[in-house]
Amino acid sequence: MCDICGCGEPGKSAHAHDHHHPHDHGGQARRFSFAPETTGLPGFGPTRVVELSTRLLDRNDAYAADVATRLAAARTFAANLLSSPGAGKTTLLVETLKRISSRWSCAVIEGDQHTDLDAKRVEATGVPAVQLNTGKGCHLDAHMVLHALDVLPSVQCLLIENVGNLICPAGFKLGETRRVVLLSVTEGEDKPLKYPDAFAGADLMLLTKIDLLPHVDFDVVRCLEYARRIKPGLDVIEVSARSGEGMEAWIAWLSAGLRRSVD
Amino acid sequence: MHEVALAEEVLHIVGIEAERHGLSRVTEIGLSIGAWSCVVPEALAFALEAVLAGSVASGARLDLESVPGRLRCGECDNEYAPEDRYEPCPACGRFGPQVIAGNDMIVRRVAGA
Repeated sequence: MCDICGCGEPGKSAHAHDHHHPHDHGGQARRFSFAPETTGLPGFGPTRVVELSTRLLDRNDAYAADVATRLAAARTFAANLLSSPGAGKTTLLVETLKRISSRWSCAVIEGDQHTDLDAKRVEATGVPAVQLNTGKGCHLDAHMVLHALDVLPSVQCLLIENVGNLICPAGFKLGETRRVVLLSVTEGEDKPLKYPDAFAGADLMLLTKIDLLPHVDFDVVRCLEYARRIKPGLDVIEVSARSGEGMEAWIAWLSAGLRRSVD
Repeated sequence: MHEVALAEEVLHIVGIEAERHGLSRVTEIGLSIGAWSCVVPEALAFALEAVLAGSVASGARLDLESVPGRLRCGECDNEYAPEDRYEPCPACGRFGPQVIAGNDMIVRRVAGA
């Protein structure tokens, strides 16, 4: 039983999934202990030791596998959009939906710490949206997405706007088909080096707000070189949701993924 | 940043194991934390102290093992152990190595009575 909301464990049972242990314990592992050593507890009988190998992310990964199974059964293409706050995720989403929602059925999951402002912006385009507020949390997890799927209609294209944060969302799979990282030209071109995990796990990088390039000191060539140091061969599309430049290439990338999922 | 969420996951795993093995009190939790798992062991220990309070593992001793990172080059198969997870291969200079150790956070041991 899930201790968050009382729903079932991912994959129905706690240990339905395989554990992967691609690491070894050679090398100089550093070990340190917190709190003093204790030698048994009076009144509790002999101490027993249970050896385990359970990853902290196993449960999220199992929920993510459940999401992926549901999406595949419904022939849904899902993109998980990651970026720092203010990189232009919501504007890009709204402009994207205007261009594709007459051709493909769409829905949006919006992740934010607070407010439903983004979901309202999306719903103004006529596309159903569900807002997930993470409160103190810094990322969406697969369990939240599973519940969002319960309240959304089955669609061909599901766009998930993760919480604006380049660190934590990178570690949590959502069961998405593709992961897209956004970086705007008003940020530093060295962001791929500073927050590498978000770029290492991405299938596509969108360089956004390129209409602002004449007004900022942003070295596009250097930025792409940095991004491909982290992920060699990473696909990049330069785009401006405001001017529409590059939107065609982005829509073509999305449509290719959609055709693969829907067919 | 998300140490509290991870500490809650530790409690979830420990709770399941305590019930499965009939432990009414957990006195020690062994964890191994990869050098590149984006978790600071001290911060996780701090979060655990708060999250475990009042649970079956309240006040349990934490044994945190920090696992060093290790990479394998996709080009020449060279294995190396740099500080930086994104360091190119020192033998051939290729970027984008595969992580073979240092990414995971694992509950290794639960002890109690």
